[in-house]
Amino acid sequence: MTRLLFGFLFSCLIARAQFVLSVVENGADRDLAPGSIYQMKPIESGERAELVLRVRNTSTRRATLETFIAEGAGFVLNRGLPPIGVEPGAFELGYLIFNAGVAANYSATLTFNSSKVQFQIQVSAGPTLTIPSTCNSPTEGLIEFGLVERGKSKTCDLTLRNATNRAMRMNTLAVSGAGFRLLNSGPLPTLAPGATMPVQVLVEPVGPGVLNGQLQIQGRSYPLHAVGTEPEVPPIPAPLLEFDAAPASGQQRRLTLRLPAPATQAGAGTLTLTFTPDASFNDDKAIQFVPSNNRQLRFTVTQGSTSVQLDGQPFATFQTGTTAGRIQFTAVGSSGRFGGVGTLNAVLLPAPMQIERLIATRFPDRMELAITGFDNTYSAGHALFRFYDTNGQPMNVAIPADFTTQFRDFYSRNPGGSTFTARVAFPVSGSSTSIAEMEAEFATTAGTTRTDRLKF
Amino acid sequence: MKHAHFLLFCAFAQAQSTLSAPSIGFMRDPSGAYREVFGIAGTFTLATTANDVFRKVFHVEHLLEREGDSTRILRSDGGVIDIVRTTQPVLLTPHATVYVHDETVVVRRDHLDTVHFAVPDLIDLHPMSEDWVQLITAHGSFALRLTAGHEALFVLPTAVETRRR
Repeated sequence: MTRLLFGFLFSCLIARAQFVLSVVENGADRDLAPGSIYQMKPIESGERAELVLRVRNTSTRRATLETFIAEGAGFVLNRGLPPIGVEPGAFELGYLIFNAGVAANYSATLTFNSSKVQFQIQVSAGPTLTIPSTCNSPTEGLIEFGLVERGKSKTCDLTLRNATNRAMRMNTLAVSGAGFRLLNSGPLPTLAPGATMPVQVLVEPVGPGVLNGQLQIQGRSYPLHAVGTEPEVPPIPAPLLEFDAAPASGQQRRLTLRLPAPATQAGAGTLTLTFTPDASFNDDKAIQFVPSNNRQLRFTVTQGSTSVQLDGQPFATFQTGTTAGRIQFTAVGSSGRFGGVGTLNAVLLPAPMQIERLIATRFPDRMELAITGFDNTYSAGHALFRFYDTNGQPMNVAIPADFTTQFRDFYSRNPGGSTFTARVAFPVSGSSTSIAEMEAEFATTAGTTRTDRLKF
Repeated sequence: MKHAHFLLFCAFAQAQSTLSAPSIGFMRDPSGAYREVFGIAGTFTLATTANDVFRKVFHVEHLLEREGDSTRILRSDGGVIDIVRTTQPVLLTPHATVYVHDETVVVRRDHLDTVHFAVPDLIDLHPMSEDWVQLITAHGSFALRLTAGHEALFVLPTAVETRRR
């Protein structure tokens, strides 16, 4: 019985001695005897310390690590979950992590199976960082730069303060992360009690997207955050519309568009022609852009230019038709790139009859007058004719004629413009050779048009 | 004088008028068909349908004489007006001869000033009527008014309707 008890106690001693705890320092193991105290490097409030531990099986048999824990405020042991079988000569890794709270002395007891080792660490107060409201965030410790345009930068002016009553030597001040930069330069100072130092961190995005970085002060890290955005391009100014000359009925005119300032970006839009006839006149289909033969054109602008292309041309030719009224041109940009809409009106005033061509012809039995023209008031009809003999003398008083009914009938049968060719015949009896010249007057609501003398 | 009074009385009593839409002439649309152009100078509208054939014979003052790669433009008395390359279009109309010289359209008449119009990339000349010629260019069609003293160039609308069969 005595022999059995002795053998059991001996085997227990063998088992207890088969694990050795060591801490990895500079890549080498430093064994820690059970019951010993390991003094960790002092750190400052908010910093973090980490030790790599090994529990090595120094026996020639497989052994089991039944217990492997650390107990102490601020300490955490990351390791595998016991029981852990460890082969002879092999080891089990553990990571002892300490997150420093307020300035004080801290300790933890690490237990592996029945052995214990104590770890101690001194925490002193670190510098206090003040984050200004311009880069503050609801998340504690986060330095938020917010939205920053590509090509622009934003600086956060931070302040470090030694709030302790002893001098504080600054060892580490650095920024990491793409787009972030520390503006401080020169050697780091020792902060006297109560002293402050500025810390300037700049962010300069090179493109759109989220930027994350770190501000390292002594042993503490402060996350940096910014969002890069594309620069907001100002809108293209509303196009200015100009005529080559004041439009009137019966013309082809040129319309030009230009920008009052260079285009901030490329853009396109639609130029629309709208015609509102006077009184109760019908629409005039001749009022349109030529040669496209419609009332809409596409316009384009290129970045940096003030010129506007209309269907690829520097100007648009339009017809004013032969109806009194108002033409409105409206240039509307697409995709919201323009700062406004360009408009221009052309008032086509009522005008006396315009005669394009006049041919007088003598026939044995009649005299004929062919008149081609337009009346943008649609009120033609009353005419007056004068005839002259071969000596240029009037042959009679002026002869009135009323073709109102014929014009009304013609325009009702041919809506959409007032152009006409009228052939007026004057039957004669006897010889017509004594008539050498004639002239005519045509009256409308806008006035009277009198022709030159026409020779037969 | 009595005779004159009698005649004018008749005119007063019987003056008659007929009205119609004025025609500029016929233009060739992009499909090659002939399409009537209505209106007056600068206020053109096109017939909605095209004609397959346009035939019109003009009396002309000038003559053409081709010799190799040159064409001589002659007056009726045989006098040479100008010499152009045979590949260049020449058009004889009743009141003028229209031809091309170095991207310039020349309107030539006997006893009147010659008129020039710069028209780049001209492809062809086409008679529209006695007083109008269509200039077909790479950039569109133009109507050239030949009326003496009122020569002018206008933009023609582009026909988009289908050709009538």
